[in-house]
Amino acid sequence: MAIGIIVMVALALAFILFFNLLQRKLLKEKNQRQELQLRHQETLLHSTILTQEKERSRIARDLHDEIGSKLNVIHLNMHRLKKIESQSTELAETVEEVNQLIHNTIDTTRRISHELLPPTLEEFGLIEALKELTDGYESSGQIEIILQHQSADWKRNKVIEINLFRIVQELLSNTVKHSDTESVLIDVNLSNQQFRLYYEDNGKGFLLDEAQRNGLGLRNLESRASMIKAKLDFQTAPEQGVKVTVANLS
Amino acid sequence: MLSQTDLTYINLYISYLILAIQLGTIILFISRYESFSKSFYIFTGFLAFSFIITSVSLFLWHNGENNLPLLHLYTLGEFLLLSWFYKEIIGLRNFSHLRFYIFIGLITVLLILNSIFVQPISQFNTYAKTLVQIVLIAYSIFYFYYLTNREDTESSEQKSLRLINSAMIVYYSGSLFIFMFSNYFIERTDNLIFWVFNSLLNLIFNLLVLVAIWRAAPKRMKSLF
Repeated sequence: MAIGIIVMVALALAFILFFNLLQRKLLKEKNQRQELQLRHQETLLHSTILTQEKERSRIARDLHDEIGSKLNVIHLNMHRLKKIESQSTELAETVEEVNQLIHNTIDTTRRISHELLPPTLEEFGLIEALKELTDGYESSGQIEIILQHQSADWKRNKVIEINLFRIVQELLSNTVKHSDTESVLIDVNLSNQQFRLYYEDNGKGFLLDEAQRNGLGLRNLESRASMIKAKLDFQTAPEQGVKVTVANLS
Repeated sequence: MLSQTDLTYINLYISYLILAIQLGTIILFISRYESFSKSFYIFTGFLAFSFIITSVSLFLWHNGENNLPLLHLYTLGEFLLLSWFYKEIIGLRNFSHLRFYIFIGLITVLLILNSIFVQPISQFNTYAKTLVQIVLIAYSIFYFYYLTNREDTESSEQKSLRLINSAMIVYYSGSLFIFMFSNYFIERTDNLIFWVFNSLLNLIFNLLVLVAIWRAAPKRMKSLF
């Protein structure tokens, strides 16, 4: 009788132990599966971003080199036409209209091309591209941006620069759209192969959990940071503004 | 060597301790009742039921009256409440509604018939008790099986339910033989040691339940000001 009771208790304990070990093993396997899935998603996102950048660069070049230059030729020809149209006022007006239209199209093409891939970024680097970007926002009069920068012996790295630039672009776009703020601080530190970007707005902030669940924007930022082996620290809460730091891991 | 009187007192003190722990668990539950899910409500209902039955049965014992009719009532209540509890934690998708209710109805009828015709209420209802214990052990094993098939991560509430389930399987497995042979014990003089062992298992069960409810209860937030 006593043996029976002891055996039953021992069996129950053994069963619980076995179950816990089994569950731990299953949990480990599940975590490994999830990690693999995440890594796969990350790789996919990286390659999507890379393809996107390549495509942007190609379209920007095509717009600038092909369409832009052809529009310039048309513009020059219109100037020549303008010189010989003096006999007819109707013709003169039409030429003037077409001329204006071409002028606008050239401007639009240039703007789109610059937005796709700022030539300043390629030619003069991140700081100059950020100055251009912030000037553009400030000239609209909606927002004041303080851009602080230090760069010493910065060895230019196009992948890092384009990703940091895109991060700032995304953050500024979000600030203007959602934050109801009038001032932004951007601090960029580039030295040798180290970089650190700090972005702060004093707007209305948001619930980070909700944004992580709903938006692709934050995942995009994280993915861009991970592409350049940087750590992204995102701090925000309702009425607390947004503070973002991107710094390389080494 | 402990005498029969010593064992009787040890058993009695353990029973009081169990009652105190059950009362503590119920108070803890009531103080945070808003944060618990339905399954905890049902389980605490079972604890309250057990507390009342044990209290009345101790009272009857002190007055030298037969408290075995209460065991019949307890067995039925225990079966119904814990079946409801397991139905709630395992979820309806895993149990066919109709089959489950037929099963509950069938066992309930068997328990009542046993108390009327086979083992009257003045005797130990060993058949009914054994049947209920086997069913509860089966529920418990089924719950463990169900947990291994779950895909989501375990929350603190689920951890507590797992602890309750572990307590259930240990207690009911350990006490299965004791209740199975309780009528045979009555004829022997050295049976008290087994009841002390049963009370000890019950004490462990109630302690684990207290820990489970404590862990499932969200801690009160400290004010920042």
